[in-house]
Amino acid sequence: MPVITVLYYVMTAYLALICLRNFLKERDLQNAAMYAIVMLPMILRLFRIK
Amino acid sequence: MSRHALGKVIIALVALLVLGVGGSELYAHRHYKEPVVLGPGVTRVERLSKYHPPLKGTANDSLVYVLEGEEDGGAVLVLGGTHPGEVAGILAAIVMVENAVPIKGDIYVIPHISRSGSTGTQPSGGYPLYYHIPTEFGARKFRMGDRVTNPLDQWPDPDVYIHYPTGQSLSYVEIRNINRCWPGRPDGTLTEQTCYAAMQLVREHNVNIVIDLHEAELLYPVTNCIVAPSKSATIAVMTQINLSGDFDIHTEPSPVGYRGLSHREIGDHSDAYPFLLEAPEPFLDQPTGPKTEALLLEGVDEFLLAAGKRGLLFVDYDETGKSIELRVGRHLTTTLGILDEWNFNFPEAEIIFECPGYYEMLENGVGAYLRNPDAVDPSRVVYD
Repeated sequence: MPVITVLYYVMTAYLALICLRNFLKERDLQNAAMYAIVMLPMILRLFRIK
Repeated sequence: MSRHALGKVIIALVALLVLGVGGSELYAHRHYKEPVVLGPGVTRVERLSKYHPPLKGTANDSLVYVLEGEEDGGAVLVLGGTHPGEVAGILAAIVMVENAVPIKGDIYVIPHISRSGSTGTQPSGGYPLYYHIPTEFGARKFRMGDRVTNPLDQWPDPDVYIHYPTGQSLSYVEIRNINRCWPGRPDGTLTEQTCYAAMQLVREHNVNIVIDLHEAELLYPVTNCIVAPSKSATIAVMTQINLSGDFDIHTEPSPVGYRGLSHREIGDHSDAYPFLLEAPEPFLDQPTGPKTEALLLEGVDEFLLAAGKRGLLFVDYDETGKSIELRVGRHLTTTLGILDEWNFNFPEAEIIFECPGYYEMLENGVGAYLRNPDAVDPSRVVYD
């Protein structure tokens, strides 16, 4: 796997963790749902599903 | 538990449910293996990595079916699935593998040249994951694909794709488009290496003709046609004339200034005569109803009918749609027509094979020419 691809997976994992952190800290349920939705494609990519 | 915490738990559970159900379907789709029955004409099956070993084990280590005629002659390479969403090309190639009988010369068939592209569907396209061709023994199931290499196999895309070797700037996503990466290079991206491997096949076996099977939108002018560079133009035009009584077909010149396409680069970088065939596929058009399997296989859409009545389409279109039988059939008959003209012009390198064509598809359906993998010797079944 090329180095740049590895870096992109690392960036994706970092972004997914930030979204997860914000999801856990968020008080507004609507915003929390938004963070969960935003995380979905990142998780699919990290698990190499889509 | 507070209402807030309960709300978050519910959101998390719903997200996990969506991930689980959707993700498992996507995973199954990516790993689904299509059975292909080796017809009477197939003498051997190879992998594309034979022509470029670094492809071995990758998603684009596609199967190459070789049909060798009893008499020596020329050679033709048929490419299906350059754009895996253009299913008539894939099915026409599989019909050839399962039915064609070579008499003179050799046929190389790659039904899934973009095998990676066939393992995913267009993001946000709402595509069905599979399509089914009815046969007398039940439905044969095929993967639906996207236009380009799956990003799981090649990622990220650059901001601008610089084509090798011309240096032409193309849109970023075209770096994953097989039909913008010809002639390829041995140390390039997966998509470029795939094109390079196919070029090596052409050079090693002195392939005379390369036929790249595609489909295109009805709202797009380059459809119902043969695209050919100047060296192939005479054969293309004569084929068009010969077939014009059977179905609507015209010839489009391969533009010299647009690089990376098979109909340009294969001819420029080898002695082969390239042809790219386009059949009309309503499913690909943007302003259609839902992207269903019925639309893919029958090609009937009310929005395209409305567009047709307003003269906005580049093909004749009515309530009968554009069936998969019509599209596969025209690919097969056009291929045979090109070979007829080739043989007339180059009798020293004849390529002759028997294969069902347009009228057989219309009369009997594509399924009549797909064999039952459960009813043959397992050694004659390959899983792609």
